[in-house]
Amino acid sequence: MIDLDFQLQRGPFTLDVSLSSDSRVTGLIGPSGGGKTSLIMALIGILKPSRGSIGIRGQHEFFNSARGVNLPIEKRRLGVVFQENLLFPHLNVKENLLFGYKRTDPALRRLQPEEIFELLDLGTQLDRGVGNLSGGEQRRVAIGRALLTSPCLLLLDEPLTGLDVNLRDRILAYLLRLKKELSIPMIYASHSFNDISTVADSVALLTVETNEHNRKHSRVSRLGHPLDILSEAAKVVSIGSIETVIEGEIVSTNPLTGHSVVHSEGLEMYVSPDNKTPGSRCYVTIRADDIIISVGEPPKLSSLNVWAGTIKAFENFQNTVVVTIDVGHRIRAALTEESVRELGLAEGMKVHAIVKAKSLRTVVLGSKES
Amino acid sequence: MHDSEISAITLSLLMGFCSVALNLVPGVATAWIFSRCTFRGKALLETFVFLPLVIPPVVTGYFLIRIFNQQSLVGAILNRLDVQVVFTWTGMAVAGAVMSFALLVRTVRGVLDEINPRLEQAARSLGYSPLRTFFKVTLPLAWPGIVAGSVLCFARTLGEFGATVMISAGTAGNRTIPLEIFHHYQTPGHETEMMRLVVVSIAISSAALVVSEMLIARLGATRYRPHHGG
Repeated sequence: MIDLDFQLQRGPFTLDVSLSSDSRVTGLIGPSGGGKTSLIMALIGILKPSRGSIGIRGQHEFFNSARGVNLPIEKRRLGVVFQENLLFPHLNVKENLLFGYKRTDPALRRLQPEEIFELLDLGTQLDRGVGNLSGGEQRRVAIGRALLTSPCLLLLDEPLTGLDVNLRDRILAYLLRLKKELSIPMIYASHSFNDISTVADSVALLTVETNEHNRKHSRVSRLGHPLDILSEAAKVVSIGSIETVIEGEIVSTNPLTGHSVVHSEGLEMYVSPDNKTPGSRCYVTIRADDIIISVGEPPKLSSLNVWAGTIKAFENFQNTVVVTIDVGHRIRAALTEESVRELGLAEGMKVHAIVKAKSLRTVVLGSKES
Repeated sequence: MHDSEISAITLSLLMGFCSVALNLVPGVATAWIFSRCTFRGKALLETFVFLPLVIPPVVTGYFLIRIFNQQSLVGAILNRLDVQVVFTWTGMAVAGAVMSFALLVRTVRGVLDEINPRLEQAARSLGYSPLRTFFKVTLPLAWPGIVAGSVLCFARTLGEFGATVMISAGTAGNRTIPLEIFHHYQTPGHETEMMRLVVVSIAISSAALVVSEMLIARLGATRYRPHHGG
């Protein structure tokens, strides 16, 4: 779908990109200053490659040095969410959201304002000025503004950077909602493996080499499933804590303990959300480091979440092993190599995954930002 | 107030407005080019534009006479079109405009420099051509600065003496407020007339300054402030 094959020169910095991806969400991971933003700028048309081609297969050719094609920015129909949001300070939320929509040919409008206002829960914010929006609200307006041009591709440059953990979970949940509800392919650039592995279907890894003349050479070295490139990514970026995000519905709340039960396709999760309205859709984040694995039937535990499942895969990086367990959903647990050896874990083995309700983070979309 | 004083005030205000009218579009365009473009010879062009700020106004006035007199090429062409510049109020308006152009460019350029050019890139990515981006993003964000620059341009023209006296010769009916003040100053027994014009002059300039400050404060309030985090 996305076809990139180009070289970009900027002073002592060279970026070589050869990347072809059919994924709904293609991740782009690399260290800060590794050329992620340059790659996005070349796609948008702000930076001009020295040679090569940029396009969407069978639909658009944005740049082709051999054929002398170089579409101006405004003709490329790419939705861009910039790192700094770049909302227009002289316009209110609604005017910002409709800024690009107004310039979009009515025949090409596939997304309608009401739909986007609802998806991003912006309906009640439309008359506000953008200067006093919270960080998360600004990001949502930036995403909505880009989507309302009905772009053929949505580019997200570090969309979760600079947000605290609550807002990060929230924006991540919105991105997962967009991925599920809309058919627009996305490129997601980030230096956080965790964010990318949660949203992206495949990930391209950007690596940087500095030669003896202090010239930096960046290239896309591999495209693969997020976990397949884990060990290579670990050499380039810090992996942090890997997470699994599961969408579900709050079915009941115990007023004594304050715990709510969330159902998602047969998986039952005990969580303690801020908003406990039964029937609400929510996104539950499970940190790989918080999961305990038990072989055989676990004894009586204080932990509420005890899920039976089957081990599906192992990925090693540094001293850590990421174990994928199917408990109705595929969740990831991080263990040390010693634990894996001592427990004798192997693919296909029946185990229990255990995690405290308090360790699970929950976002209910539509509720107020905290 | 005497007719000559009324005429001086009218002429000054007329010159001020003409100067702003002549300078506004080229001034904003020049400021935009200085702020957004890089090209060979830019530093030279900037020096040329800002020169009238530093060289003595009388010298600028002398050059204007040399450019517009009937023996010069420009003067000959204008003469064919029946336009007289030297010793007319047209010439005085041109002198005022030339003397205040740099001030307008400087003010507007400062404002344009403060507008994040990435906002313009964002507009482009939303389907706006460079020209449309200028009118929908750059201009609305810069307008308080443009108005403030125009006020300064107006006030500068009002106070212009050196170049104006060269091109108007300071004859009766051809005197702006500063020229009229100087005329009364040189005439014994005209202290009252002089003082009246001094007060009027201060009043007009103060009003212009207040308007300018108000607009700059307003610009400060609407300037883009990036937000990070909650």
